[in-house]
Amino acid sequence: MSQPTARADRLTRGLAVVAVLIPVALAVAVRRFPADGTPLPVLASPVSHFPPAPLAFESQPLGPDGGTRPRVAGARVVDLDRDGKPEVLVCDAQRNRVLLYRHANGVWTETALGDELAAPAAATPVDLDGDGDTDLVVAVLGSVLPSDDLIGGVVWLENQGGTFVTRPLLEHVRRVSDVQAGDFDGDGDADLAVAVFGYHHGEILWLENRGGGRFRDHPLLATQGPSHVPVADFDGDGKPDIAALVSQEHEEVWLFRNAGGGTFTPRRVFETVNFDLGSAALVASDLDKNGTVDLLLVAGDNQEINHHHPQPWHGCLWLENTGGGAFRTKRLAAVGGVYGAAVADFDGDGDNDIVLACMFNDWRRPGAASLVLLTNDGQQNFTPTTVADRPTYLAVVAAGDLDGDGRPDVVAGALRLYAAPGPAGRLTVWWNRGRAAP
Amino acid sequence: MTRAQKLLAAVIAVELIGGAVILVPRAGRVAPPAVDLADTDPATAADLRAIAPSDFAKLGGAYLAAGFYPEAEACYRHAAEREPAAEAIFKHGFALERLGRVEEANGRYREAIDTRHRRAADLWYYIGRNHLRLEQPNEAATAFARAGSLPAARFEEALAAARAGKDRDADAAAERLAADLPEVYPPAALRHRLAVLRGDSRAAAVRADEFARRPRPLPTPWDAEVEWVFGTAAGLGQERLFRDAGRLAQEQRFDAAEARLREALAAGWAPEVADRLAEVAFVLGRREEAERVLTDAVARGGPSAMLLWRLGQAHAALGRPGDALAAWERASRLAAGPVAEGVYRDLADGYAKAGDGEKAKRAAARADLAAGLAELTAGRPAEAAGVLARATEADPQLAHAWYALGESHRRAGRPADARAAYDRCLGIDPDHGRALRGRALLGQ
Repeated sequence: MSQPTARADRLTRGLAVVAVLIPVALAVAVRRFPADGTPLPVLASPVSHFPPAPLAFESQPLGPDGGTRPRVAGARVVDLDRDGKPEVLVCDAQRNRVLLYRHANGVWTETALGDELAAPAAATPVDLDGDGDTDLVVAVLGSVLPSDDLIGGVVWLENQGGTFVTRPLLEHVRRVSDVQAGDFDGDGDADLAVAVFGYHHGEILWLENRGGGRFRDHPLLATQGPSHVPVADFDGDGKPDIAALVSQEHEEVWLFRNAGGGTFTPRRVFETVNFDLGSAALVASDLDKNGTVDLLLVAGDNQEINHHHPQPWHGCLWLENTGGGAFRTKRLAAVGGVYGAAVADFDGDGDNDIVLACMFNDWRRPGAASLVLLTNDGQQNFTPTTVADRPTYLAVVAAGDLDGDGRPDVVAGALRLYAAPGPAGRLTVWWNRGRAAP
Repeated sequence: MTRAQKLLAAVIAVELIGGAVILVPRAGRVAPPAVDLADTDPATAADLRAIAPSDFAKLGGAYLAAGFYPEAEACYRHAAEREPAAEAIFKHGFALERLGRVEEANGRYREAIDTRHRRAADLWYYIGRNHLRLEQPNEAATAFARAGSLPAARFEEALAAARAGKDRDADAAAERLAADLPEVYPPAALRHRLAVLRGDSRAAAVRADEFARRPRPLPTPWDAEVEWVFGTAAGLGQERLFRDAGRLAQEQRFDAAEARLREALAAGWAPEVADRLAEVAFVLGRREEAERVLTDAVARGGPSAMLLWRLGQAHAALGRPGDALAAWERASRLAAGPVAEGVYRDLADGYAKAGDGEKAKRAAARADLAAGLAELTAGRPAEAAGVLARATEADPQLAHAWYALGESHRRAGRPADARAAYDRCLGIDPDHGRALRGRALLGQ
């Protein structure tokens, strides 16, 4: 074949290829630029998605379905009947009940404790009357929705041989979000610390146990927004102190150091100028296992108008107890919309890990985490990983070995104020099956 | 060039021209962001789909109100690019702020101010607040200073002084603000905190009392945005249907109200909608249906004082007073605050009709206590005192009614009456801490 002919053939073939490729490219471009226009890109949250957890967790719904608006406001792992087997104690603000779930032979049974209560938020086990069994004290919100009305209270569910009798201890106060027990005046009986969250108004109180089921309320701080009042000997002087998380734009942690005889010395141990931090929970725990009680501050509340979005400053802060009631703050992880935390050694490596429940994550983006595991490298450096992305709107979380296999399991409850996106679920157990297969 | 080559060249030319005709207009065309409405109630989804895709500003507002914040930001971003007016730029900044992108939001707010936005002072306040979110107090202070005399900005200045350890300045600033806004509580709350932190328990008690007496939050620019977003939300989907039903019921157009409520329930069951439907059915004379709707609502949505109260009313209207009393008793265990008054009034009537005068009297006292407490928390002590006096007459053993009566007298400036009422309370319940504190305040 002569050279000009070969060149002509190559040109013909080249033109043919171009004639075929143009429609292909056109088809691709037509898809890229739809007739209605190119959809505008949206900005993704940087604190919603994480790699999968290194542990295998198997989820199981617990108890009845909560419909489209489950409202679990409190959950903890307890041994109420002192039989050595843990139960799950739940405050259900939809059914307006305090409920106990027992697990035996793979089956859960549900028992309602006491009377119906309007939006119970926290139930704390304590032998309030000193009769040797475990009673409950319950923080009653009155309504999960914001209100400044006098609808809250504190109720004692007195254990009478396994039956719980309802006895009001404090009435006609604003919404009560937490109640914890401690012998604050050193007289040998259990007194109570109370967080009256309210809305525009609220307060932190302690209730002095005067015997015979009588309690006298004493004010510690008048403020809206106290949500949690964990009790522990934070300053190591042998007396129980009261820590308090104050939200509603205050975004601070107070320590009421027990000075003895029912007197307290107040001090602010954490504050930030970021009024929008979104303080949601305060958990007392010896995170670094050094013998002092630390605090975990969980921040992710963002129901600022009628909807929410994860914010970059949401996450988990460690208030490290440096002794004598002083704390040093370290940010452990940025996780969107966090509302609850529980501490345990989930991976069995000897240090404490943290599990976080997300209530206000970006539920419209698939894969946004609802349950997050923070694994500890032993030096209190934590890596966030996703345990689950459903159910959504998890408000509370607790940990404990519910099946006796030596590994802490997780139970979390969902709270939806309104009908909302994402898979609904009321109460869920995540069984810890150990290290995930690679 | 051969014939085949000429033909291929012609085909290529036609393809290129055709491609250009198709693509050039498309390349410049922008659509709203893709939105997954699968989890949105059908009524809201329909309302969102009904907005013209080209109306980016309106779509932005609707997405913001419906909780699609990233999509709202995208729409406002494009609207502000197309027409960079001050309000459009501000709205884009507001949407960025919802996403936590506060530095970018502040940039937009500054642009809006430069474009002569009519709410410049408000925008400086927002800029200051975003600097606080970024933990930049100095920049925040500069912005608040530019917000002029806005009470909310002045309060931020008081807070900044307190944070800086300038307690006297903070207290003085809060005192001035408290004097200017006598019903507003945050300045009193700040002064109480300062007293607690300096260990002045007497001043702390006085400031706590002042805090309790003031019912209102500080007015802030945010109020306008809340009104805007809630107003938009009320015009969408189920909320629109529910709002319209309420308006129609007020106009006595109950058939039309019922249609709206049924449409709302079809979009998604909600206890408050079921409650309103039962009310309409009741008014329309369908009492059995009202009872059925309420019974179903209690089962599906959980028991509440409101639903049980209404269920009791349905039972009573159907001539079943025993069931009515049982429902109201159950409601009374859940009731507190304003609902309690209604529940106890019906209980009082029910027991009176049943011939149980003692229970009727106690229930009436509880109703008056609830009504009196509502007056007191709303800052109307004189009105509260009248109602609470009735409660103490009906049930002299109701300790908290005596306490609340004491509070009402004290706040109304009648210390002798207040002391007498507190003493009656403490005679019944010596551990009533609030009564002890109220009495202590009389001496200050």
